[in-house]
Amino acid sequence: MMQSSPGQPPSVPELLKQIDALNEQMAQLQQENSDLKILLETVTVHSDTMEEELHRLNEQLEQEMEKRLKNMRALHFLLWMVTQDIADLQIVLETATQHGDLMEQYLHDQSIRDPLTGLFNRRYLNDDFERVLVHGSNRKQPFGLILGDIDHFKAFNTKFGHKAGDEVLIRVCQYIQETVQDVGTAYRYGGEELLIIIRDCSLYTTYDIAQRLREGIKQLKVHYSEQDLGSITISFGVAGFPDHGKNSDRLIAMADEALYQAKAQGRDRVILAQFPPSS
Amino acid sequence: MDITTETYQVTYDDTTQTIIFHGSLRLSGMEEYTPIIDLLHQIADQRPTSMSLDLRNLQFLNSSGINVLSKFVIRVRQYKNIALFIIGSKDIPWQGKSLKNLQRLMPQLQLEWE
Repeated sequence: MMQSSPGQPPSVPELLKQIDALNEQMAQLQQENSDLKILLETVTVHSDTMEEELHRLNEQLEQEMEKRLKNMRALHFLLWMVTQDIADLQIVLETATQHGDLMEQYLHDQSIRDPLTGLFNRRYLNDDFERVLVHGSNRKQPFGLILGDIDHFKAFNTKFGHKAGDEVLIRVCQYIQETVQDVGTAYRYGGEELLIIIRDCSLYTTYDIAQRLREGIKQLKVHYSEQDLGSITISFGVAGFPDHGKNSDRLIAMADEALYQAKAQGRDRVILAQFPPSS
Repeated sequence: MDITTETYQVTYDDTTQTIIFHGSLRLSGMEEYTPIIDLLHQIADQRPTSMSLDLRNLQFLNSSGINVLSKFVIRVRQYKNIALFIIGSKDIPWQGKSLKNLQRLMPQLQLEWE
């Protein structure tokens, strides 16, 4: 290419060449400009789309979170309800069990105790007597038997009425139970007949206890409907294991015989059973 | 609203909003207790501000019976706005322990002894 010398204006062919080059450059710039415009437009549209998508996703996420929180709250409430129900059920179960035990005890007491006097009944005596006999035999320990009968009880019932008679029975049994509770057990044997077993005790000590009971009962003041029911006396027959027998039937028969003697000799007394001929 | 049988009686005194129990409740299972449960619910569902169970003359109550009372106390507790009173007798041995247990189900429950 021919270059014009310095200080001389360019030649026409040179100028034309420069114009061509400039035109080419301008076309390129115009193309780049057009490309950039398209790019800008594309990026803008894409950004808008992305922004919209992000917004939509964000909203969806928030709704999801709200829903999950709601579910979680519902689950917490359910859990609280279930926990409360379990706690309630445990208390209900404990209450029912304890109540069942109490009722069982109550029914058992009813089955072994006389409802009027609170003393053990004759059915319980049968079982208990066997246990006392086994204990006495195994340990070679004596025990005493006191059979008592309230004097003139039938006449008393006729004079004052059966309710007053019940009151007398209740007071006499209460006194006997309180007096012997540390040393023995009292049972209602029949109508006005009471039987007392004195554990691990000699015959003569049993006799002394019977005397104390007789004297104590004589001192009782019993009233019914503000009426003084007068003095109560009782007769006792006393027998002892093993002196008078080694089984319940024999021992009771011996005490009964002694009681009969006490009645026959004028009542209000304690009679020791006669010893069998062999002893 | 009263239930009367040979062995027990349940009556409702609406002037004092008190359900009064008499006798011995030895019914077998929850099914046989349904009339009593219905009576209790009927009264509680009216949402009185307070109600009382008078058990002073209820001599005997079996395990199903104490279950009925326990569940009733829970129901009243859930209502939140009923003041519940239970009147018991010191002379009836089972009442002391069992009625106190009901207070564990509803601490606001008021026990009165006579």
